[in-house]
Amino acid sequence: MGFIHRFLSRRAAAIWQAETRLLHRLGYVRPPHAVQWLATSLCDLRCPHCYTQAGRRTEGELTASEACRHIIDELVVLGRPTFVIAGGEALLRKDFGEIVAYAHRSQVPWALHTHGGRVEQLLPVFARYPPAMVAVSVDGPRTYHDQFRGREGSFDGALRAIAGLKQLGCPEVVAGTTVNRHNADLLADMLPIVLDSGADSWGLHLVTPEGRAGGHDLLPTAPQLRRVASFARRLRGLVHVELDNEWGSAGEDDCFYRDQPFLCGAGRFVCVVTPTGEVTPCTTTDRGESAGNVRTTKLRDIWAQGFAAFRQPGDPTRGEGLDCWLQTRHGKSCRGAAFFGADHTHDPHKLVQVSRLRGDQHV
Amino acid sequence: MYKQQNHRVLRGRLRRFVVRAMAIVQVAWVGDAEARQPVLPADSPAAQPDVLAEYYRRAAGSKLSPKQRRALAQLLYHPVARSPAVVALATGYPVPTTFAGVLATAGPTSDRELLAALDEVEKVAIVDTWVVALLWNRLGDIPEPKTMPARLLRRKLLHRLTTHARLATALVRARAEVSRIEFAPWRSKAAPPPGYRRGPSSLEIAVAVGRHYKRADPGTWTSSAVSEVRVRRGKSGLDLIRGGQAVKLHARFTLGRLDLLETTKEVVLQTSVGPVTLPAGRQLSAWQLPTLVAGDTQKNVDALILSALAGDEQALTTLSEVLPFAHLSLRRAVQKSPEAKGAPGLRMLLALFDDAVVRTENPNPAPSPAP
Repeated sequence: MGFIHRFLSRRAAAIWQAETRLLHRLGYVRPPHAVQWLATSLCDLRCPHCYTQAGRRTEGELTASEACRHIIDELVVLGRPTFVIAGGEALLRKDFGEIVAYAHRSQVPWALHTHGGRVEQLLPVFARYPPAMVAVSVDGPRTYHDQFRGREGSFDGALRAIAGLKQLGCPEVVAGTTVNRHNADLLADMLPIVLDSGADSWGLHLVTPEGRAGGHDLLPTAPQLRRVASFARRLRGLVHVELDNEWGSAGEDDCFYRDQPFLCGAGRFVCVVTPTGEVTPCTTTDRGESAGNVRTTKLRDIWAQGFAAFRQPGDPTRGEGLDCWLQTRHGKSCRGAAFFGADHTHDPHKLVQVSRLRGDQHV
Repeated sequence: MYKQQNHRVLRGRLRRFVVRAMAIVQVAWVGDAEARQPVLPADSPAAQPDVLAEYYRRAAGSKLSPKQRRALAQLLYHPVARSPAVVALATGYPVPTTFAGVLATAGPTSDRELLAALDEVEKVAIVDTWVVALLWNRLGDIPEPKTMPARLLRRKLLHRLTTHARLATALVRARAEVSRIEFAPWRSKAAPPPGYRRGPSSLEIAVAVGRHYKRADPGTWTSSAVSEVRVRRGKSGLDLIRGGQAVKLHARFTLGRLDLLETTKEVVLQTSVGPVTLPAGRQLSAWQLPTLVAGDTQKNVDALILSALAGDEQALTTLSEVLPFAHLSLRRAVQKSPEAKGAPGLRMLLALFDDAVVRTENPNPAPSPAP
């Protein structure tokens, strides 16, 4: 057992890939581990880094009954993966309580991504239908956060949300910071804020060039990426800090930046349902990546029959899984500079190649 | 739209097991070369299987909860609260006496006390880079050693800190190796499954640590907040002490924060901001080097700091490459202009230099005359 265990752990990424491809050849897919639903495009903030261009409600968004029937009921069939509700700002949906109540009754664990502004008002809902995890966005110290989000008081709202959720006993409250060019060097100033907030962990996301964020280059510079990664590595001995999926793989050094080795989950163990019911491999805004719509096809069938490119070799960006697919397709592989040193170039395919090399060395 | 395929969702534990077994066989076919010879540092109290197992149990969360770890971080971060009683009360952390004394910011300390504190924490299986950061930061309060025994003691302390940092690296790698790995979406998307625990307890850690220790480096201590330098004059009078030992000196080398420079004659180092003269007969650490920066080099540092304070990203990057020589000027600048546009960037650099255990006091080590 000891050897198998160690072997599994050290070669986990390779085994996962091999298993996914084997299953694909045999005509099967694993059930998803999580399904994220972008519940609405509606948002009361206009953050420059928003990956969904959130603002106004999209025409034809799923109603509460559609969400229950087409998503939650299907999750029951798929073995009850986590139902992650995001947005826009999901808490602006008036039927939010109704939907989580249904998920709770169906014994589907649910999680939420929110800016936190409306959490306080909805605390009774959280108390009655407890979530498995809530991630609250904290972009920087008060002045920066409020300016960036375009609303005074949004920083205090986020902190009150974290405190309130912890007081309710929410098992995992994450302070989520989307690192961009303007806040990358604010993280040292943010540390005491995050520590005092009561959050269980600090998730460092990286801006992805889609939606509103696609309109301007917010991606941190290579030296900033190095500084942030290095800072996070130092902190991990003390606080639970994670570099999230948008950062891609650090190869054999992944253990210094995250709890589990990196493997892009898009189409492999996660998928995203858009506000109008399209099912995409991740949060991409490119509707050409949709594998179907839950209104016309059952989610279980979309999951089984779509996303083949992510489950077999051949496609250099989708088939490898060692980099964030969304970042790579936009040519933003300079993230490799965070882990692989100053000499890393901005070659779009370099990170995938380097990751593979690192993986080989690790193996 | 993706090409449709006629696939089904896999169900049943047996089928999953069979496919997993097939995948393992397929990957195993490639071979699994690994070094099996455990090599552990002989002089570290932490490098004993039972101590390492204790570390692992603690890291797995059975002793120190995430809440306690966060509380500990807060205490380290807010020096006002660093009293041993507060530490014990707030965290339940078994902080040994001498180490608890070192946690407190006030009061003098010495190399000998820091070594004793390190011994204590290693014996109770506290192995982490923050321990190195905390002790190394206190080193900034101690004057440069002048006598040979004092210098040897300083070498020993830095050797032990380097060993500790390497051990911490090896432990992280070993934990990742023997822990249960699941590709869980909750890294950023969802939540850990009910009852999830980070890794099992296992004595296997000792073997894994031994295997990794052989090639482990001190992590961020040698990879960041370091400085590339060239010896311009007096190479024969310079010793680079790394991990307590003199290492072969090349004309160009990377000066780490755990390194010592010992001079027998005057030496001139070329940094990316200008030359720095090291007087003869000194033992210098990164805490003393800024006091030797003078003339045009200091002017260059000051100009870079002014630009960085104004928000110049390139100046910030250049400063990050000379931190062992410039950190003192950075501290002064940040103290003087805490609200400047670029001040957060400078604080970030200082956090990297101090290894995220931020000092509130100005270390200001007094330059001591050559013995």
